[in-house]
Amino acid sequence: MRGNEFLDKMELIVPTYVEAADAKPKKKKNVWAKWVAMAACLCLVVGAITMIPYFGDNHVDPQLGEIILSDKTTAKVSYGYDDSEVTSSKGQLEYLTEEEMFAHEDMYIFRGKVSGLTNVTIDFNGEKEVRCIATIVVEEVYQGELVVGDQITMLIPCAIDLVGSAVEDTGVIAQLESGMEGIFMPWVYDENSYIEMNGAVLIKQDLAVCGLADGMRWAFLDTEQGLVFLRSAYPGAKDATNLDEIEAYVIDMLK
Amino acid sequence: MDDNKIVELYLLRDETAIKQTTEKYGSRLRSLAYGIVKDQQTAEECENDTYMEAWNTIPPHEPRSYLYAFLARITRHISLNCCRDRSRLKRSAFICELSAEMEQCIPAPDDVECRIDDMALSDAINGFLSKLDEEKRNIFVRRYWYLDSVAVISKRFALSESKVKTTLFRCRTGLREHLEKEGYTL
Repeated sequence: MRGNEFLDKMELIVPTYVEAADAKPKKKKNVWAKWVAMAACLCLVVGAITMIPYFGDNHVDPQLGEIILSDKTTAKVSYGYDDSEVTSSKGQLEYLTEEEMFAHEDMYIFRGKVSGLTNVTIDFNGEKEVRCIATIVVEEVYQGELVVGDQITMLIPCAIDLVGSAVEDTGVIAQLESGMEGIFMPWVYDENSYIEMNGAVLIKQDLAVCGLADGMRWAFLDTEQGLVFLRSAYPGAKDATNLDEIEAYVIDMLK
Repeated sequence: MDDNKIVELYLLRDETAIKQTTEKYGSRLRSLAYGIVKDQQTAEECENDTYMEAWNTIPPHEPRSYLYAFLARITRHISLNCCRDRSRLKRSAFICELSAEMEQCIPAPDDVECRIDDMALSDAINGFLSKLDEEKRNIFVRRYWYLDSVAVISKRFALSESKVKTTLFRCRTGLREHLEKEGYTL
């Protein structure tokens, strides 16, 4: 059988479904909108109160509120950062083919818009690391249990505006800005996702639901200067100029 | 007049059946045909051919509870054939696009005529559709039954075009996997 014959066979769809598809679609009620607005107000108030003692208005995203750490986390986490205290972390980029990069099921792959960026300092018994928690509103989902409209948190392996002391290999993601749209491929965190350093532990889920493995790959950013991503890592998309082309590429890679 | 009475008129070979059908469903059928052929005159021809076909097929059929769907299926069939037969309509690219998408649902496409009967194929397709949520099912039916363009579907359901494309892509993949899993050889 060929596609044209199968198209004809679609007439076998039962009348109930045919009638239902011809009915006027239900108007989508923004029932969550008022709750989001109320929650945002509440977060603003709580955030403002709880963050003043930490860093004043220094890189604080009121959406995230107070950082509540689980019992297993022994590292100390605070909002913001101080250049003089931060040590740079070295990372080794593991080589992966583009097929291998799309072969992981425990990874979200989605398109979204950054709604907030919050830098944090993690103190591993005196050895300090900086990260950024990006809050992203999901616009399209290509892989993973996400819903369009969800606002999720994603851990980024550097502070976004930490000039001069960014983590090695964070070139692409360091260009992230609030309001920017992108396609992201973060790992989904579970209770076994953690960083152990200098005798202290950070359970990653305490900070975000997912995170990028490194700052060079796993993100395609629609910046003012154009589409930014590590073109050498994605040969099939090396000539892409916009996110729609990346979207088509991603969908193709996931087939 | 309710559908049951209209069908009764067909069964009694009363020609007012066609008048009643025209009054009740004429504009919807014409609109369906126009959506496929994109030509007003051809759409009217398809509508009239639908009444003729309905007259010839009721009886033996008695679509008392699904008269519109019955008529619409005839209109769809006639309109689709018009697109294929009349090059002046310039709809071949659109039909090719839909056919190519449909081919992605077939586990092993080949030139052999359909190997399973319509009953089994109907079970396979509707079994898959029953697993989809309402919105996805409606999007799928709008695309492959009503032959709507992605832009029209996106407007109808207030979704972005890329969201519609993604949904359709996943539905096609899902249908192919369903057919493979259930062991259908098309």
